[in-house]
Amino acid sequence: MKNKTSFLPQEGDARPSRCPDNSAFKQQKLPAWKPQFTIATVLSSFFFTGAFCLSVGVCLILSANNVREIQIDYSDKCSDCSKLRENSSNWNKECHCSVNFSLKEEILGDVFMYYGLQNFYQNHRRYVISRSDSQLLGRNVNIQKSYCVPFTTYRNGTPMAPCGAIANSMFNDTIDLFYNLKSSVIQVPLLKSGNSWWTDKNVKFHNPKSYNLSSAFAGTARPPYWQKPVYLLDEEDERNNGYVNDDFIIWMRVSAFATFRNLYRRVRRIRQFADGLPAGNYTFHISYNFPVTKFKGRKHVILSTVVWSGGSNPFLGIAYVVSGTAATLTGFVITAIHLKLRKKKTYFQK
Amino acid sequence: MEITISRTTSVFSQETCESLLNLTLEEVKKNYEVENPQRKFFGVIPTSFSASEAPSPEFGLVIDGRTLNVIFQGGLEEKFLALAKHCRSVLCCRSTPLQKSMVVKLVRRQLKVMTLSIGDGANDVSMIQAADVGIGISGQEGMQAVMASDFAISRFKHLKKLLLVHGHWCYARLAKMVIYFFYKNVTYVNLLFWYQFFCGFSGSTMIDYWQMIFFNLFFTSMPPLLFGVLDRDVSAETLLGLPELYKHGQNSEIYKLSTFIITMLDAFYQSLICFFVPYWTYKDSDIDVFSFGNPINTISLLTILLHQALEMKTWTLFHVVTMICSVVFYLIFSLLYNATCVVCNPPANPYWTMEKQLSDPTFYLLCLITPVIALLPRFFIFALQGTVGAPLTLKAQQLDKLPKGQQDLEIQKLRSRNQTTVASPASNDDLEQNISHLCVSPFLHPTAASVSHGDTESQGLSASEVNPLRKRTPEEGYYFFNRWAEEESTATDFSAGTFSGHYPLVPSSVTTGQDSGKLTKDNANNFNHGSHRRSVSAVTL
Repeated sequence: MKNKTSFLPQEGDARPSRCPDNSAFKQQKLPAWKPQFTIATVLSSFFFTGAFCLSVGVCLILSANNVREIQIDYSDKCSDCSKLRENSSNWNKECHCSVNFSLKEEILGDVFMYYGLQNFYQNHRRYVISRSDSQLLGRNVNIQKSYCVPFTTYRNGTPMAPCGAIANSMFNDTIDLFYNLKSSVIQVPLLKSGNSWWTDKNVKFHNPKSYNLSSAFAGTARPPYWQKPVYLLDEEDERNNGYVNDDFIIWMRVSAFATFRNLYRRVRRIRQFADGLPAGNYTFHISYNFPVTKFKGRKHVILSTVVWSGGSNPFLGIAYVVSGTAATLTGFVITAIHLKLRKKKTYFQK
Repeated sequence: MEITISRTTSVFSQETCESLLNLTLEEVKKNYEVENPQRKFFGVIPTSFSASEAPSPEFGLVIDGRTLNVIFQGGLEEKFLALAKHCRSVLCCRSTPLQKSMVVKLVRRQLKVMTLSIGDGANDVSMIQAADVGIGISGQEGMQAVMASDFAISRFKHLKKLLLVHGHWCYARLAKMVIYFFYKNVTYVNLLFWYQFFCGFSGSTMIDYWQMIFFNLFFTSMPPLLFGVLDRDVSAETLLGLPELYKHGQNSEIYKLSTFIITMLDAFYQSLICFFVPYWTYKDSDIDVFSFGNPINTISLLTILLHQALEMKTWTLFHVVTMICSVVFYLIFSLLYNATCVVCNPPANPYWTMEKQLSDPTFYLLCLITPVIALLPRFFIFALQGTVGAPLTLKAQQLDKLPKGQQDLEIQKLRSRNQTTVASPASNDDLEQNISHLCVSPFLHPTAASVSHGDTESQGLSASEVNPLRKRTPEEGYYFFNRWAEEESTATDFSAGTFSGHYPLVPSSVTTGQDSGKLTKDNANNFNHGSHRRSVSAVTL
């Protein structure tokens, strides 16, 4: 039935045909490729996938093993400071803490220093929405109507800058690294800017415009948990002050999991540290401000190098190796089944 | 086969009818047990075919409108139905439109089967509407049947292609598309669920809101829709040549409970993979929420589209273009959205997230490995299906690839393996052939026919005229249908018991080019006497 012809042949040719078009689309005869799972394609796809995944997986595991990482939990070591911080009325008292560690081998390359938090749910829904990006753009917005509530204004009507729970809970420990060289102690030079995304620093975050920074934030107050106002975050560098402070920007980029790390500083490669961190004894001097005992959290400081495939997490390499192995094994299984059943297969022998 | 129609005269009462039905039913049952194919009894052709299995003697039942009236009014439907169940086909002649629809409703209600009605006249409208599938033939009798029907065709012979080809395709497409939609949504939404374990069950979504909405609306909507419209899993020629494939749809082989459960388990597995592989990759790192959700979104898009690609059996240009365009559209939309939205969508405001991800090698490595791991089981099962225990549709698909001559050969081989009685593939006009199960297997229940009573003039119903069971022509191949012509004028007169003398019981064969109302050449002149309008109606089950 290729074409439904007109039913009324004797009616004359004046009547137009009401049949559907004899086009390939309407008659469902479009040219098509019909894939078939032949043994050749199946086996070749399995073995090729297996080989590819195995090779990539091995490369990834090897590169992840090249990453040097040192992770130190300091919430236990600074227990007296953490006890002090349990009482929030001690907020303006300083507390310092030292943590020692030693490097047996030097770390070559760029060394990044992170602070790590555990059991801190930055990804909680109400926490994530508690910010005002318009305010962080430097615009004059009414933050009462934003999602920042209840961290919007004080009782006397002074708005907070920046508003919201994310900004309010910003990580405010100060960590410095010191190197014990023979008998002297050298502070390791660290870079505190250039750690955030370029687009964040230049597009998403702007300070309000005014002739100087403190007048730009006139009429606003610091959030309740902060110890100093936002325009004093980094008095040495004007481009790292106010909303565009790198630590602030990095903190505002809320992390995906409850155990996370944020880039804090980078080792500046000058003087003795031109190649990285030499072997020896080091000390972290920490100004402990961020209380974590109330929610049973922990704090870490992490020194790590990075490679093209990420950090020291070997999972991706392992996943590639496992799936490569699985694909190869499956290929062998299918080959075995095919060989066994080939004699029994009686139909459609080409 | 010889057929003798009994002739009974006189007024036909309910008791007579009941006793006749009982008697016939007993005989049929006896015959069915004894398997004696040559007995004749009353008007019953003693080759019965039971509704359940294969080769046994087959019976046909011929009943007319007057008797039907007695049956329905006397409450004898159950007996009638019991008798009809033992028959291969049932011919109801001279029935009114109301009776036609009552027969259909009776079968549908009691036997709980799918019923199909086909007719071309206004008197068939009630029957068409009563059945599950109503087919109207447009033509000489006007458009009433067409307007009341679900499907309209222009010739009766098109019924074959409608059922075997388009019915099969429609079922396969719809079933697979529905299962795919369930799978797609379960997979995608489960991603959000697994994240709840890591965000304190607070309802936080790691995927940006607009990208989430457009996922279902734009990025994964076109391929399954196109699949549901254009996919052809077996070619039309093979479907026409192998009517056994029709059973595939009747037995719901694509959408069973087991298929659904397996699909749901597969959806859970794939969503686990699509979530946890990125999770373990990014664990303990400095990834932020929406940079974590972005690769998850991309990975699940690729996995879902590749899953659809595995299912597609026919790749036209449309399919290729739609698949590629879905991915490209997703990338373009993400890049544009992430390049322009600074404060447009709190709290995400995914400014530059996608661009940053695209410059990270980990993203590409993830996008390569995760769909592979997620689809490996499904691909493995597909690959095995061709080797171990291939279902008939798979064999039919392989058949499509062979050259034409070999195709016919293979069809015959398949047939002879699958059947219990041998079918002679070459059809001819000799009615004394064995009935091939092949032809009837799509139709598990007897076609409703009519039992004629006492029609006096004998046109000499010979076997060649009154075979209610089958007639094959070379062009039509192996399909089986039952047609008869009914006189319009007798429809209202049946209760009066007068017959115009024109024979109602003429199952005619249809050859190509003949429209409704055509008869065998033996009866042509007899039939044409005095019939003003002829309508052809058939109820097939």
